[in-house]
Formats: sequence, structure tokens, C-alpha cells
Amino acid sequence: MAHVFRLPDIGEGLDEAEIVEWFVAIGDVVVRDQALVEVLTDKASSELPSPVAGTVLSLGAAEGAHLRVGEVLIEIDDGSETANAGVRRPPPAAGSVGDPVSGSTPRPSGTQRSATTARPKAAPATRRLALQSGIDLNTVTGTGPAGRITADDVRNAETPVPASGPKPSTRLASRPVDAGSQPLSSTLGQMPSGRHPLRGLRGVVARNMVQAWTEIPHIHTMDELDASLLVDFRIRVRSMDRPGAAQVTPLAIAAVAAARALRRFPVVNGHVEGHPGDAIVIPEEINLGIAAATGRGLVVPVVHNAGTLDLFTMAERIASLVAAARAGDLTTADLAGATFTITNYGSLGGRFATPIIPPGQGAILGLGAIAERPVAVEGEVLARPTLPVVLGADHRLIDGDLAETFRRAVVDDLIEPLHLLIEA
Amino acid sequence: MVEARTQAARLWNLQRQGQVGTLAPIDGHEAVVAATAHALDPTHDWILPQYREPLALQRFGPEVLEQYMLYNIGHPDGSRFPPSVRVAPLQISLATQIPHAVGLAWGMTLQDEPGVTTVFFGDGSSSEGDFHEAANLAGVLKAPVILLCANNQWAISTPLHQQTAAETLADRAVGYGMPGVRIDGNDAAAVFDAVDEARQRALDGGGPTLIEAVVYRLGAHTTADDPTRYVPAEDLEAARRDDPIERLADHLVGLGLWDDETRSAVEAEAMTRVDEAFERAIAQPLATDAIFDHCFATDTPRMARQRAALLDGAP
Repeated sequence: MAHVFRLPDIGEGLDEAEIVEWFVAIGDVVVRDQALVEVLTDKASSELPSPVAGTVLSLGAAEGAHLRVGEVLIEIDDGSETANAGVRRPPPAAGSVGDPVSGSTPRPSGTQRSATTARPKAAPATRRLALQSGIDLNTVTGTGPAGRITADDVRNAETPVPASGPKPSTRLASRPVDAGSQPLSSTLGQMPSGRHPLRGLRGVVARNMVQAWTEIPHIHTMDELDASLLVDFRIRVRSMDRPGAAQVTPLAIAAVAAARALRRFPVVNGHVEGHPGDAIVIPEEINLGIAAATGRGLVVPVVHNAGTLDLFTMAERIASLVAAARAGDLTTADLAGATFTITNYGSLGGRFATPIIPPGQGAILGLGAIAERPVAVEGEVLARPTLPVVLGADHRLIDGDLAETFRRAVVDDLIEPLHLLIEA
Repeated sequence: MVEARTQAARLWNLQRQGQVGTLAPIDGHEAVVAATAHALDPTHDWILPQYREPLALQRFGPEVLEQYMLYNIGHPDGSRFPPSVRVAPLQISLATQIPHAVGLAWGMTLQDEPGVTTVFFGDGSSSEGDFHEAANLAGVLKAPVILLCANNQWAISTPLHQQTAAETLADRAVGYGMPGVRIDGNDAAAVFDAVDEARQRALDGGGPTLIEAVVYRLGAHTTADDPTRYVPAEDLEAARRDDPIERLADHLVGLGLWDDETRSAVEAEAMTRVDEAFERAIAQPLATDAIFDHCFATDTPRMARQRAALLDGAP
């Protein structure tokens, strides 16, 4: 029978919530406490776990829609013979005063459902791994003590999908990736014809961009540097046997170079407050925003206190933030407080761009694609790998001389990245 | 400790499923609460919890979990512990349990009862008037009470440095004429020793002790809170490396007393127990108007009208 899961009041006195993302679809098999949906209330964004194990029969609302507390969120066939469950005793906070059904159909105690019999044996970390890898533990044979499923069993398991029957649904795994080098999803540029309200991440991006475009007078300075040493440096560093080495990318190298230049020129790390401008604010810390394209849009996670990070730590931090961004696991704190942004637009092949400075910042560094291009060396034209770089600056704060000097400082370190190891 | 955290995770899910009300997860406080309970004598000593502790108080009786479940589904009986269980009901109003604890301890000395009371509160509560008045009285009366402040660095979203200008919370003991002890609350053995010593002193007529157990809140303040808005990610990450459960587990693994299999078994058992407790709680009859039952012996006229309106289904 269908278990009706109604939108609960998960805060204190909430009226409604927005459906941000469904993690399951009709026909999916879910286990108890598996994340079903992410909802956004005026207090927080929360994942709601399934109250029962079963098959998803219907979803109460589409992504982007709002549901009121008490409306049907999802219906799940839990295989029970008796009709529903959905209205057990009302939760105290939901206050279903006057509901004739509530409180009258408590589930009898002593039912067979228990954690030990319903679930295969595995440690919580193994369960998490299985969930992230899309592996149904019921399909895995445990090789541990007493048939317990180990992490290796999960890793060795084939991706599930039984020959027939519904496909188990799980959240997407997070994959470590180079920022931007991941192919974008096939939904890029796709939207049905019609009028679509601007909300969610798209709405946030729209408001920020309008503010940035209308309030900040931009100037851009561009350069293209010989990246021969940079390419070589990266190859040699990545072969080093130490944590973070494998995560070193041109982006991470540029981030360290930018942090070094920001220490030398704190004004570039600052911004103008107010419109058209009341004060210049110079932050104590250097927090680098790293623009990352995700399936859901552009997000800019922040490497906090980046001023003195060594290359390897910087590389690790960027890799984990970008992976979290792609998996949709960033926290609000991960996205807050950037003082300077780096955008690796070249990961998609571009050479030059004019990136827009996020509100609350004074400058942005853009990296183009490294490619072999003609370079003049001592009177001869040679084919060399080159890296185009762009600095966008708020002209209220930064004049051409500072913009050029700052860009030059970054470029010098990228031409000879050994500087970054000698003096972080 | 593992049992408490496992059950807290399940309760969090139950709350997100709309099956229990707002609650405060124990994550990060397990060593403070469990080790304190183990240093006390459940047949003579009293515990007055705040609201984060019940899942780690099972040494004081399996009834604690049952009561906590009833409480969480909004059943008034959840605040009525059987007389054999020396645990007071949860206290949501900040710090009001501290004067209760001092009064209870004083009463025990007046009645020549051997035993101490231990009261849990947090860094936020230590700024409340009730704390200062109760601590002062406890010092004057030499009441056998242990004031156990779990300093988890956050009073909801207020960080400790905005809570107090004092270097430590334990320093406050000086002003009330009692010993103040500051311990690593992630170290179960340190908690046990500090509580054991304070208890002996109280039983020997030495009066109260203020213990500041320094921990870090590893989860949300409550289910209605979003800590990612204010807890710095790097601070939380650092605190996780000091997780009280992992520290004790490492120690016990070294002694050959703990392994993954034992842990899995404890977790499975804990999950079964919390599920069963929930099933029993929701099977308890609950009258629609039970909310009025424990306010006055006889309803006031206004409450009587409200009770009648509720039973009529009127808004």
C-alpha cells in the first residue's frame, strides 16, 4: 500500500518549502532513511529522508515548485498490506489540530521491522560509499566477518541495475576533477519553449550579474605568456610522491601566483563599498573564489585564508571544493567570503574573455586555454604552448598602472613557476 | 557513545520525516555525558540534563530512552520519569535546571541522603542569571552539586568570544568559592576523573565543583538550525579530527578491546533499540487535549474554553 509522506514542518513554524531537487524518480526503489529530496525553506536547505523502504509511486511537486506543510510530498509503496501509515500520530510541531484521523491510527508495536533484519551488514562508512557509488548493498556479497560487506566489496561490485525490475536510485557520486575539464552535461542550453520564472541558482546568478554589470566600471587587461616552463613544471610536480601533487593544475598554480600578488598589492584584494561608492574596504584575509561550471549552473566555491597556502595544499583544497560543487555538496560557508575570483574559462577552449567582477570584490583573474601557438623568440617564430590571461578590475579602485603591474606579477610567476616553490 | 550517536542520526531522520519534533543532536558531547554518567552512582546520584544529553544517559536506566522518545513525539508523559530513575526531565528554558539542581542537592544534605546531583548546561547558559545565582547559593550552602558546563563553543550561532570576555568559564568558580576545573571534554577518561573527584569532594562535605568540559558542537544546534551559515568549515573540520568517539575508539583498539565488528554490532543494536522505542512511543495513547493536562490541577476558565474548543475541532 502507498505510504503517504507529507511535507513536515522541519523547522519551527514553517509554512512551506521549495522543492530544489529530487534524488529519486517514479519507479525507483528506496531504502529507509535514503535522501529523497532537497527542499529549501526560509531557514535552510535540507534533505528529507524516506520514512519507509519501497517503490516510489508519485512525486508531489516538480522541482522549483512550492509545497505547503502537510501537502503530499511523495507516495511510496512500502509493500505493507494495510492502508497507510502516512498519518501516524501527528508530529508535535505540525499541530494537526482538528484532523479527525490524526492520533487515531497508531502503528502497533512489535512489528518485524528492525535495522538488523532489514539491512545487509555493513559499517556506516561502507553504506555511504555504496550510496555514493550507486551500489545497492542488497546485491553485494559480503566477504567480511559474518558476511559483513566491506568497502572493498563495494568497490569490486559491478554497477547495479538488475536485469529486470526497477532501477535502484541513489545520489550521484562525487568525482574528483580538474576544475572545468569535466564535460558539461547534455542539458547545456536545453529548455522547453515557454516562459520560465527566474528562480533558484539561475535567479541568484542573474541578480549578482546585474549588480556587477551596472555598478562596477570594468577595465580588462590581457596578456599571453609562454607556458613552456609551466607545462613542464606541472608534469614534474604531479609525479612527486606527496599529498596534493596529483591535484596540481594550471589553475592551482595560478591561484598560488594570484595569492602571492594579492599579498603584494592588497588594494587588488579590496573592493568599493556602496553605489556609486562610499568606502574602500581592504580585507585582512585573502579568500579566493574559484568559478566552477556544474550541471546546475555556475558556482564559485571559496578557498579561505589562501594567502599563505603552499601549492600542494591549494591544489587539494581546489580539487575538493570543485568536486563538492559538482556533487551539489557545498555548504553556505564554502560559498561565502571571496575577496578575489579566478575563472578558468579556458577549460572550455576559449582564448580571451572579459570576465565580470562579482559584487563585493575588486578584481577577477581569467585563464584561457593552454595551446601551442606561434611565439616570437629572438627573431624567430616558434611553436610554443601559451597561456592567455585576463585581469578584470574595478576602475573605481584600480587604475591601469596597478592593473598592469598586478597582472605582470602573476604572469611572471606563471612563466617561471619555480618562484612559487622557493617563496610561497 | 557510539550508541548515542547512531540513535541521534536516526532521530534526525525521524525529525526530517515529520515523525518527531524539534530536537538537539548530541554529536560532539558523547564523552562528556557518557563518562559523567559512568562516574556517578545511578542509585544515589541525580542528573539534571539540559536537552542534548538523554541518548548518552542509558546507564541511569533504559527508561531514559523511552521517556526521551515520548518527549520527542510531544507526549506529556515524556517528562514524567519513574521514581527509580534519578534523571530530571529535559529543560528547554536556558539554565533554569541549575537552581533546581542546587536545591535538590541541598535537600539531599538536609535529609541525610548520600549522593550528589550533577547538572548539565552549556557555555550560553553560563551567562544566564540563573547560573550565577545558583552557583553562588551552592557555594554558600556547600551543596553536593557538580555544575557541568559543556562548552561547545556555540550558543546557537553566538560564538564563545561574544559570550564572555573571561579567559575560561572555569574561572567563574573563584567568585563563588568553589573549585573550577577545566578539562578536555573529548577525553572520556579526563571527564570520568574530574567528575569522580568532584563527586568524592561533594560526598566528603567539600561542596560544589564547577567543571568546564571543552568540546566542539559537531552538529546543528537543533533540527531547526543551519550551522553551515555561521560555523567556519575549517573549524568544524579541525574539531572532527578530535572526535571524542574516534579518540576513545583508537585507544580501545590499541588495547584490543574494540574493533569494527564490535562497532557494527553496537550500531545495529542501537538502531534496533531506537526503532523499538519509537514504535512503543507512538503506540502510547495520546489524548488530543493532553497538552492541557499538566498545567494546573484544575483548568483555569480560559484553559477550559481552549480545551473545549480543541476537542470540538474549532480553530
